[in-house]
Amino acid sequence: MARNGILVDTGKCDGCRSCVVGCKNWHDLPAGTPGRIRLMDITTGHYPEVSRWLFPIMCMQCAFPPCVAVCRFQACHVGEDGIVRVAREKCVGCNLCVLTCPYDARVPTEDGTIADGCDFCADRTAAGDLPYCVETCPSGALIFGDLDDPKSEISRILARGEAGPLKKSFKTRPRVFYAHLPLPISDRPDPRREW
Amino acid sequence: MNHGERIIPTMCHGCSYGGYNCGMLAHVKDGRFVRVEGNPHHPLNRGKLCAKGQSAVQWVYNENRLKFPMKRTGEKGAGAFKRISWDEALDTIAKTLLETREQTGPESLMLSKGQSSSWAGLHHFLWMRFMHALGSTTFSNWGPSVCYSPQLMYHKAMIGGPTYARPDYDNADLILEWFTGGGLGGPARGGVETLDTNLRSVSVKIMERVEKGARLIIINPQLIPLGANGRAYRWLPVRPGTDAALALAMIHVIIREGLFDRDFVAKWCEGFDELKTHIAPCRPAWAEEITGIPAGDIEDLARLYATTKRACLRVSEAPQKADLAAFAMAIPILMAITGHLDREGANIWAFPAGRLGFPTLSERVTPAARERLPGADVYSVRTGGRHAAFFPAVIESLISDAPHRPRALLIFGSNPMNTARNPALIAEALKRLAFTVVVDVAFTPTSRYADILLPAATRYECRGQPGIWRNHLAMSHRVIPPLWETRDELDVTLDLACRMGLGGDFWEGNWTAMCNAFLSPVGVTLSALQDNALKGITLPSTDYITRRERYEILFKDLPNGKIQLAVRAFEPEGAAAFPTYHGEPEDPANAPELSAHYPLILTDEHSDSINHHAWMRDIPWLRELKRQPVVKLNPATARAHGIEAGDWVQIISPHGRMKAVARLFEGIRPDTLMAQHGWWQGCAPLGLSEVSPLNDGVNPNCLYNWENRDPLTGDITKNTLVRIEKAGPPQGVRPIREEG
Ligand code: SF4
Ligand code: SF4
Ligand code: SF4
Repeated sequence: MARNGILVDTGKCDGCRSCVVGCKNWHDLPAGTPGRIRLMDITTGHYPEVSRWLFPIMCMQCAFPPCVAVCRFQACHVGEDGIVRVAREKCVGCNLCVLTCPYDARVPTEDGTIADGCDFCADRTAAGDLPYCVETCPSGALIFGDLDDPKSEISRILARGEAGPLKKSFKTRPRVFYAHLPLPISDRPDPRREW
Repeated sequence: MNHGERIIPTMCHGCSYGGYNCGMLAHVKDGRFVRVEGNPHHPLNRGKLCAKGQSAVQWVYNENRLKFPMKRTGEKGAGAFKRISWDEALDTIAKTLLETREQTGPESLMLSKGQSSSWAGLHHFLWMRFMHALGSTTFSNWGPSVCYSPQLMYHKAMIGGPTYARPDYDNADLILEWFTGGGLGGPARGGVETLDTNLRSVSVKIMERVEKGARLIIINPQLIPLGANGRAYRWLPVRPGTDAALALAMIHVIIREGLFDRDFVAKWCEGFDELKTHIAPCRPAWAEEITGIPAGDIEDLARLYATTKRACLRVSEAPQKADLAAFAMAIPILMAITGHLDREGANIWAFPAGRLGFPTLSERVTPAARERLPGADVYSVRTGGRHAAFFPAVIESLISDAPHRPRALLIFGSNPMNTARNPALIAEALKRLAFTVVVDVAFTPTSRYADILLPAATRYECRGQPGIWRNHLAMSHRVIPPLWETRDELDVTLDLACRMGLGGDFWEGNWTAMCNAFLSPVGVTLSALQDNALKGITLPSTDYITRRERYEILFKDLPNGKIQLAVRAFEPEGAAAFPTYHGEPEDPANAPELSAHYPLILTDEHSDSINHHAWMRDIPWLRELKRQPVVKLNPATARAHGIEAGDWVQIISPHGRMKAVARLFEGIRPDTLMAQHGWWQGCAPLGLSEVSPLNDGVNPNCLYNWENRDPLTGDITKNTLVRIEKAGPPQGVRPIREEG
């Protein structure tokens, strides 16, 4: 069984939010809720010495997922494909996982009765397709592949040491990696939503 | 994968509505359009879509859609209408147009379109033909031409070519993005002056090239997303409206240091020695004072551009409008003297493998009618063959009740109340028209002034129209039948023509025959294109498309077949033959007395990646990402004015007022406020109401002085001086209502 991951090549992301809106389009998710993937837009420094950082964040698919650890109803669970997801029928909407996730990647649905999050498009990957955001990103900033296959593009980039997890301080072992993102940005304490 | 849904290949219409756009696969389930994905066979987007394309479904099923033909029952502008039948609507229009022509002449009929159909697309041809068949040439985009055509007039006069020389990103080692949205804006800022016809492919190309080592330089008062994530080699935050000074100083440095392309200048340019004299005072130190860019940076930029063999630059919407001439002449000179023209990696002229179109019957317009066109004697109108009215003159003719003013106006998908400067004056002009028809997919502030409102189907509900890009032909296809009583604008136009007795000129109303006529120049039939819905048809490329340095042909219409570094033809108009910097009339240097009360410079950006000009803010998936119009300002400026992030603020210029939410951004000059144009829409699912285009709404066009224009082209300034203060949110307006 493949152990899939996503690599965000920030060098190719210009914050177009096609992945953000595309996810809602593909999964027919309502407007007015945070959604499963969102864009970070962070500016550092002071005029005119300024840097700006744009990149999407979604569920990091932790190998040691705190959301699963805290869920008392086995709603947050690791599927047979190794993907962390929410079993909607079991979720009571207690939002413990939402509060626990260090990446702010679990989101309550519109009416707050259920938690939701990115599952790497389980519907699509089961059929052999790429996650929708990966498929649709106009500049190819998102790379999807098997982390256990040393020949996959994602493994080769990781082997070259060009990418790492978003927050090095958390030890949840994410399967989403970021290339070309300097440390002070990626380790900012709170990745808040911005417009 | 398809979830058991029917998949229909079509094209997106988020960029050039009705033209060649990104290929899309529309999914339909139980008769409902449910989702989209990119068409992997389409060469422009290869399976990708942008955020706007992704939200097509919510655009089609939108509460703001205009559903039925209506006629006005209340005062103009009040927004009260009554439902009528298509027959009543079209018969009334046909009768009124014919009567108006009879009484006040063909030139009193006018048609305007905005983004509603691509330039040079099928709609454009059909509507020109319709007006010409009636003997009128008063085709206007009713709204100033403020981005594409004014600047192009200067480029063509100097360096020739049929259109802009566009950046060859694929081969460039240096890319200058000059006051562009870097591929994120509307066509005005994103795509038009590039090789590609849509928005996203531009930034994708640039990012790919940067990854391969090309240097990217951003010249813009704000750090655009393209320059983020470490991609910008330099960001030069130029003071808004002073870009020409920067360009002139670059020319100065290139000539002073002998970095120009001697062979190219000797062989292909005229006027170099005079240019040398003219440019002598434009030293980097002079430009530093005006632009705020250090002289050393200007010198570096000039040297880098001149000495990088494969260097391209893109200007899209001109950053200077009243002083357009200085900027629009300096840029072609920069490209010409460095030889960065029609060479690999430089600015090149791109041609499709064929052009689509049918005759527009322009010979039916009499010379006398052309001479009566509003603004017929303005330089750009006169030299452009008087095929379109001059927008400011149209407005002035209406306000002054001039004898040759337009009386009846057909508006297809244009919303001048929001897109044109001085909306209060536009409202007054709209009120003075005897008869106005608005055809649109949605209610707009402009539609409040219509006598008759016609509901257009979205392109996803229409049979489609062919388009071409490079050598690829494709067409959009119907995804679902028109909702409510909406109709395809092409059919409406054909129907109207037949009702007016013009059936002979309009294929007796036959859509298929019209499409075949449109396709005939490339020898492809409509049915062949329909049979190739998924992949389109690829025409053979020609040597002329791929060849470079085609100077004999490109410059052949220029005097002596050479680039004109000086345009003598401008002198009799009272304009300078060389670019001469004046600056925008309302800036701190030119209007110090205003500066005392209005200390900040305001300009606006057209669009961003999630909205487009004055529409698409009613789409919930897009609107939730930016709920309110923002004005970007530097945190230091905000502190000085007691403003915090997220506050509603009032922006006051000598001419008007607008409101916006403060977005604090370190990546913008502290003396500058960047507003965004095109806001007015409500979004009911998110509880947001429509806002007036007039003062105290959210429209930057209220702030500019509409008298400040480029004399030759009428381009109207988008720079002014303002002050900013905390305020409450704007009032919502009552939606347009339908009466019993
Ligand atoms: S679609 Fe791609 S480029 Fe656009 S925001 Fe998402 S990751 Fe970035
Ligand atoms: S990122 Fe959050 S939601 Fe995703 S697996 Fe980790 S803890 Fe769970
Ligand atoms: S770039 Fe333009 S044509 Fe392509 S998907 Fe986006 S809006 Fe549609």
